[in-house]
Amino acid sequence: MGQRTLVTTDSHISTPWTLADDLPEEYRQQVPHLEQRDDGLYFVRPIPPGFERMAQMMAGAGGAVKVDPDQINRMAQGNCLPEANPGTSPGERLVEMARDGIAAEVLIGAGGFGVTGGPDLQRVWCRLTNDWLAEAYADHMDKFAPGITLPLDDMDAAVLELERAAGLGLRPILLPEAIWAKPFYEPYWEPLWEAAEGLAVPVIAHLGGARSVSAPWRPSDAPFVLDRPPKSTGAGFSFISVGMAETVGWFVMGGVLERHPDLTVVFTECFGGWLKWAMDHFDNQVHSGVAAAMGVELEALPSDYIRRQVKATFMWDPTAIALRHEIGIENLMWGNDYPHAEGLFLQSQEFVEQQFSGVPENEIDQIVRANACEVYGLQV
Amino acid sequence: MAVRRVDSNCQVALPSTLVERLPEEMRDQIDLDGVVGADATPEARLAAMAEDDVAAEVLVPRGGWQPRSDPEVQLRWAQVCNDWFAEAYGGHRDRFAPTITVPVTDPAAAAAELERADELGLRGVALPQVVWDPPYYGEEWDQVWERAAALAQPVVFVSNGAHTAHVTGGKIGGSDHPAAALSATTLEACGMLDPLGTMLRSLNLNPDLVVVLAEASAGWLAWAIPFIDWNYTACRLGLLADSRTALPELPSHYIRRQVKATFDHDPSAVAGRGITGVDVLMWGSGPVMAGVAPTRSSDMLTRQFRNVPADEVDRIVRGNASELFGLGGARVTTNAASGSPAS
Repeated sequence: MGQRTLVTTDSHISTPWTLADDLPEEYRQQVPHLEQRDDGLYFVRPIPPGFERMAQMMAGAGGAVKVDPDQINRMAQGNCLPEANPGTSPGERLVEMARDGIAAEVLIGAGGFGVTGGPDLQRVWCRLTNDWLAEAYADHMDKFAPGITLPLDDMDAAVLELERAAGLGLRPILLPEAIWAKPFYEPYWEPLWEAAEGLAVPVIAHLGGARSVSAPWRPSDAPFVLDRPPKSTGAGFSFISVGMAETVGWFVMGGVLERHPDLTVVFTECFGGWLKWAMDHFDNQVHSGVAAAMGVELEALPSDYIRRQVKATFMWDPTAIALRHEIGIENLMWGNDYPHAEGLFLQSQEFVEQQFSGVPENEIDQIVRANACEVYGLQV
Repeated sequence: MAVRRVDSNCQVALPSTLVERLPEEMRDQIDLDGVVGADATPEARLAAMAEDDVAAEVLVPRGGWQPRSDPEVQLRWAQVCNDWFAEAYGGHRDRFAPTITVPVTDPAAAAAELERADELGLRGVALPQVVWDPPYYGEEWDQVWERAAALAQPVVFVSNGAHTAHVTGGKIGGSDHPAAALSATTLEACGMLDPLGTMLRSLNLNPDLVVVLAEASAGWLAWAIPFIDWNYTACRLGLLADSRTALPELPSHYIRRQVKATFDHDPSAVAGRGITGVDVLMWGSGPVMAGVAPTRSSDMLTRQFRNVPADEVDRIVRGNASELFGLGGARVTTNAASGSPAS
């Protein structure tokens, strides 16, 4: 069969290398920027404290890398397949999308995985990033959903910036999968959920490896779960993916979804086949009386909230497809994780065909295109 | 109609009086504060089993590991625990499989104590899901896996909070927000992917080694098995890694052959048995949550097996654990075998 119309809900984009040049010097040093040194031009990427693994996984290792003019786009992205050439402009993106048979993208910037610097810098940098995306993609919002980066350490400022960025056409809100110091069930986040709900802007929590780090009593040099010997068995990637169930629990058992029934939360790149297990797990906490005994009383079952307000994205997940009716077809979306090494760039059409074999056409289309169009307001 | 079962994960609190069996100078290194579990005495266990219609139990001790103690104290304490289990349950071997406590920072001592406790009749060696000094992926632990395989002693991994304590800065259960604890239970379960991944190499090297992922709430495993295979064979992240682990077979081969996962109430695990294999799954009650956990005779336990063939239910709730831990007395004529396990 011919190419399907695919919308990837998980596509990564960096900011232009020169964007930081618009900042005062004291701020410029704290965000990704160019730096002229004695032996050449370097790209410097500070990593927000506490987000080291996320930054490494999403945007390549931190520190400074000498600029290779032939590799600029790949270097800016960090974690990048050698076949990809991930530019920042709509024109460059459309060329890459055509190579992989992609019709539309949700653009996820590295800023969503933790913003460096104090509240003042965060406000300025987020505004700069959001303005750049809005300007660059203004004429392409039917094919692109550029995500909103927010100054998460100042909730008043975050809400103001959300309102401003949403007014520019950006969506969704980008959040890390976990912020240990401020889990998403904390009252601190309520103004953001209320604003997102009111503006009908979905929230995404993107997999970033937060759970690749073992408990705080680990040795300081302990390798991340993904990196431990024996490598490459896939168990580590599996763990950090299904580990997102904890974040789902924050939203569900923390009552966030009950208090904000129009809020949509997308758990991105964590795959979806485990979502049925998570539904059963949290429902069991209600049925068994454990939740009530701990002071959690919900009007509906956790699985009801998940089906109503939670989406999960996957690139390859036959279990999610097999369980699509139990999970909910409208709760699943596809994404290719462009241009990351673990992603499907140049394999997207092939892997979609393989994993959806035998599934009715209308259901395939819903998962690989229609759900994303509805959630993110894309038109393809 | 009731079902007679084998509880493959009955977590009991070791009696605090056992500390008195240690030399006086060692006693203050044993920390049993906050250790929660069912009453470990045979009398209490037999009474609970009669009430819950449980035929046999695999006893997993809480308080056995003392990783912050000196190595010699850990060893001595492990010997005390194992000796007490052997004394207390020596006359009930058909109905109880008390697992072995070993030091967790000295693999050589652990291997030696495993062998000693094996001779005492204990079955299964209980280990925390993650240790660091040294880590399981270190070659120091190979002697333990080899010894366990040779003695047909299953290695039982039990959660030690290695993946659940981020929100509270390292303190297990340290948050006063109920959503923290309720959500973290998912990591108690799927955190077993950590030792599972670590052990794939050893499962290949030791085909007779069996690993039990206790309190794993196994529904996630049905998702993980094909996902792990895909990572191993097709995902470019794995293929690009610089020290790819060579396994002659797919990871799923070793999981289905040598891994067991215990669960209490998990309809997804039951529904996913076609992927995991029935022989991978074992029912077990898991940690005690005083006053809030359902009893082992709860209707929830039987409801999850509705419409499952009786022989498969019997494997999961009795047969698999009975065979693995040699619980001969558990080979009773069960209601499950009569074909009405879920009625």
